[in-house]
Amino acid sequence: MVEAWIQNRPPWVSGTGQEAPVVVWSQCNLMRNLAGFFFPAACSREEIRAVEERIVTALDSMGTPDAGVYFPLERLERLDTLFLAERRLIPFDLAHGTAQGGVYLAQDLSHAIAVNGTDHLCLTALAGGLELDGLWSRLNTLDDGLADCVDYAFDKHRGYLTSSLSHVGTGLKVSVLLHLPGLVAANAMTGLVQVARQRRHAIHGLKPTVVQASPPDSSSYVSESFFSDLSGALYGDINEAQGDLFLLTNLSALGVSEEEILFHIRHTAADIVERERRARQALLNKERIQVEDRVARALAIAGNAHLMGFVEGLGVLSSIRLGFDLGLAPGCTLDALNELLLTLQSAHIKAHIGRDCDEWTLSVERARLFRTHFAPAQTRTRHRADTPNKE
Amino acid sequence: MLCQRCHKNLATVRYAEVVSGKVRELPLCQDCLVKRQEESGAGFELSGPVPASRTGSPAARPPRPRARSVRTCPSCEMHVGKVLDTGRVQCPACYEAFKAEIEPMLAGLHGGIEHCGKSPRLNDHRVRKSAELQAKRALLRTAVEMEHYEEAATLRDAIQRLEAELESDATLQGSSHG
Repeated sequence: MVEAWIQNRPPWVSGTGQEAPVVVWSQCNLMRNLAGFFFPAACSREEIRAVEERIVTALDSMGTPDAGVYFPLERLERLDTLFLAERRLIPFDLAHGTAQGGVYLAQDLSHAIAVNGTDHLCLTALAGGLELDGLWSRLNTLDDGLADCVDYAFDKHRGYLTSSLSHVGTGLKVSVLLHLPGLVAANAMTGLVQVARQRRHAIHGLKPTVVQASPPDSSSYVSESFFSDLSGALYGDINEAQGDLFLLTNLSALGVSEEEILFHIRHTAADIVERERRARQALLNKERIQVEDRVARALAIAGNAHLMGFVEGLGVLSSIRLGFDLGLAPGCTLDALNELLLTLQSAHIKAHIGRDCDEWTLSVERARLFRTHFAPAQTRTRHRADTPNKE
Repeated sequence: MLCQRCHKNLATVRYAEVVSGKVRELPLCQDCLVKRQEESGAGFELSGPVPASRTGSPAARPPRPRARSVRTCPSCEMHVGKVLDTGRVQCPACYEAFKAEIEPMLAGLHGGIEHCGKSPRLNDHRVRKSAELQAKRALLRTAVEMEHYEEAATLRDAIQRLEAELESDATLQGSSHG
């Protein structure tokens, strides 16, 4: 499936949303469970099938919204599920676990419904920049449509009942990915995390997950991606963040309305963006030569390297992204930077070359992707011509 | 998984430390991580007040019961100890079966224990509009406190519109009954 999906660029890549380039993307997740069933972890195989059948029937009766298609996980290859997880359309546990779930994907891959992960349903939508209201409106409509067809596990005091106590209530998890090199350089992240915590928000460094596993049923595989589960448990401490990328999420889902959650996340994100812009300007005023050097070195590596590790790629992208915002990276586009942020992950590289591969090949191909975008004009044509044919 | 230091909040980070030459990993919540690192955030603050839950503050939350019972959920047979350790439940009935244990955990995690958001299949338009009105009024207070006056004005308009709609619905209902 991945061959078809890779042609479909997620809308957030175009970088047209509000507060870009500091805000990379926004995401809303909505967790729901069906009444009358245990939550997926306690369900028998028959119950899982029954839940799946009800959800698929509901989607059919809704006229398969957005021309979507339902894929049971058992019919997808491992690369397919990792690819979807890298696009944040399914949570980590569904991609890596032995879950018997499935995923409903809108035709343009702008949103998805993960079925039988940690909850029966996890509705997901992403948009570029800070665009929370539009996302919520899409998920809310989808949720209302489903609620007309299935009975949700709901309690008037506790709201929507979920398997995790941290999602019960609205079942809404809002995430905003922020690029904050200015605040990192100003050593301001620790203070920011504490203040966000007081406002019942969490800020985590987006820690790359490097998995080398040998599942019993197949050969070993390498995965270098931005995976995460919905509770944020796989995000790193802010000091471990790579590429100056940080994820802002809401901690409260109970005792506040959906509108309040969106309001507070939106304003906290906007506050952080404002501080980041001031920090960048201060950095440029104070250390212009060092900033220009950092950006120029990153552009040189991106345009000429023949091996590029995952973490190194994130660092290079961060510097170029900073340079782009400060007008120090002429010819560079936000579209290209966002695309690389997505495609430097391992499942995307494997999908691009059309086969599974080892860490070495990942590095070679990642460097080739960077050169395609950043090589000097006279050599760029040659690099494009060098791109291997799919096997 | 729950934080292995306070056993109250969900662990969101893995804290690694070297003790006697051996690496020990501790799943911690953000608060405990900060305490552990003894780092100070002085001199850095965001504008606006701390959002308060409408249904209780963490400061007022009751302490988590220390004594562990051996109860299980009558529906899924999940052990109460597992709920306390993982912050997860296995079925909707667990919420009622372990109410006494879960409520303090919810207060700690969310700051509130009473649902304020949307409800499924709320076909009664008046109830739906009333809930929406309540949410918007709470948001208006916050917007004014945070000095987001443009947004507050939009909210005030929306509230007036909803109030007018509710009033006209009531009039229509009254005349149809009369």
